[in-house]
Amino acid sequence: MLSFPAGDEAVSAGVTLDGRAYARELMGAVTARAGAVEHGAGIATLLVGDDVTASIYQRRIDRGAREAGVASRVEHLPADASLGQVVGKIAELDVDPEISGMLVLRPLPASLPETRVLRAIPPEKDVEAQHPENAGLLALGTPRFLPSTPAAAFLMLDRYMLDQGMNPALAYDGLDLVIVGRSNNVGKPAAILGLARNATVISAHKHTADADRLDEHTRLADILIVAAGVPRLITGEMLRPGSIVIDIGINAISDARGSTRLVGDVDFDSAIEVAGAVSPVPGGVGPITDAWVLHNAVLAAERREGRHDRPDTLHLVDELRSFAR
Amino acid sequence: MGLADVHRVPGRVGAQRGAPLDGITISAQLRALAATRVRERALAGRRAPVLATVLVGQDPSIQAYVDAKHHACTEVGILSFDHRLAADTSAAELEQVIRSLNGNTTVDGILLQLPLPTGLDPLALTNLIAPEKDVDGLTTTNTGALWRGDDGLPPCTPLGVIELLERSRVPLASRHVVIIGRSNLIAKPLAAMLLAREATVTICDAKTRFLKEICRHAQILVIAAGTPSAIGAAHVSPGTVVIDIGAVRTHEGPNEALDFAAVRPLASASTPVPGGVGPMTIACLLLNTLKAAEISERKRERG
Repeated sequence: MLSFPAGDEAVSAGVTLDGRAYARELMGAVTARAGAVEHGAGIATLLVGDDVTASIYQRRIDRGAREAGVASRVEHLPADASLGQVVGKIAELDVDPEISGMLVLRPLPASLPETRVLRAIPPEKDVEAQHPENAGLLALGTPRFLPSTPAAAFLMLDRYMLDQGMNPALAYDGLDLVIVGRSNNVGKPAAILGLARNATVISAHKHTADADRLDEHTRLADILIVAAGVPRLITGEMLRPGSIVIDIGINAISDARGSTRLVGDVDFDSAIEVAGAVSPVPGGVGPITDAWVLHNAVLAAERREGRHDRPDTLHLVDELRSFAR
Repeated sequence: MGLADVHRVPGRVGAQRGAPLDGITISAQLRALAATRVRERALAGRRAPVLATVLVGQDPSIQAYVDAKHHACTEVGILSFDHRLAADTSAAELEQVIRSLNGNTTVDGILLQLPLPTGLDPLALTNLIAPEKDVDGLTTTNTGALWRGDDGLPPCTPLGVIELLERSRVPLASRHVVIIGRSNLIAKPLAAMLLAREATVTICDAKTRFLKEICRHAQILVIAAGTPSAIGAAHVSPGTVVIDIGAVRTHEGPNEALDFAAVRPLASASTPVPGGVGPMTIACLLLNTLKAAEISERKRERG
């Protein structure tokens, strides 16, 4: 078990992890690096169809890019676009000299074969690591890019460990890391990142809960990452005292008066009473995720100029030091 | 709070207590299945699948392993060719051989036998194999496809474990599988395959603090690497299914990391070595070669 300061006090609420502050730090680093790229960095986002959440996300990336001095190209195709049209658009973005990174937003319309769309993305510009070659590089421990949401979760964890005076390159050794969710964009890559840090990784999901065994895993977790898409799935009584809890879920729920608000997969109020630290929703991983997409576009631009040919760092310590003052 | 506090005795699984997970019998079933499919292809006017192996160097135990693969191919009607290259073959020469096999439309599967002599980069050279011919499932693209759940060719040893469990009627969905080891060749792809089959998956290693307790928590325990202390009766709850693949990778006989005699009376089923996972690997190579032949035919028919 982790021993953080003040961990001995029987009743002490945990720390709320400030995702917005970490995101501001990251944006500062991204802005500085973008400014140093001779021919500039640029991100293209392609939305196919009219998914509202994806559209909001696309505008957020565009706004963030302007803020960071990264060129932004916002593309939209109708929901009935053919595979040929989508692949053609990707090819058109590929030859745009301003664009160093690109992102095809999901969900795609059901009529499009997702695998073939994602395989059309040039791997060197695939900032969410959705191309199988990039997914494979990540699984093998030599990533070209880290997908944004799991990267945001570990940036938050690594950053918190630094704040606690621990070395993130060593602090995970032998810790029990429980991940709830097994999606391609979060749960599975988060497991890989945990393994790269020498954690003992437990991947739980819907079928763990169906077998009524979810809580026996979460109660053992030193670190818990929840990406289940189920509002308030995890409550304080399911947690190990002093653990660190990262909440990836963003769920819109309506209260009795019919107004809508966003909640995570973790019941924050009960969790903060037991855990050592909890990331809130909103204001947790979300803002870091947005900044990480831009980080990857800048990284791609730096590589294009031959600044470095290293794989993206699995350990975010170097990244953190680059903007730690 | 320790793991023991929340420990629950796992439920019985399909196989009989103490029964072996019989890789010899099940791999024979898979080879018979492969032979049937080759015959069906012939009846449908399709040619026999073709496997090309590439072996660099003259290590006798590796040569014997490759010979066993060719023998298995012959037995089921898969044609196979062996490219034996001298131990001092350069990367450029090897690359030339692989590229020529990639371009040869009569070759369905290409297997670059590992380990390679020192100085040759196994991953870089493996990655030269066209993913649709990569019957060992070790290219980066097939690794990514496996993790993403896309169609592709999976690696043979973890596939063998899955086939052994499924054909022994061991349920995987919602079961807690504990894997000891985190190798790219076996443990990690096996974890991806188990997650796709809805198992809860724990990956441990020597640094895991409560290894004994976590292992006792498992309904299925897979030993895919050596551990500093042997896995014995203290690690196994009654009714656990125990799979030992430590021996497969080393080709050195029984895995010293597992005290099989102590574990067997507790386990509901377990893999003996030899006769457990070992024979499954080659049987899965045959299935992958058939799959590769079907992929290339579909590709040609699509134009």
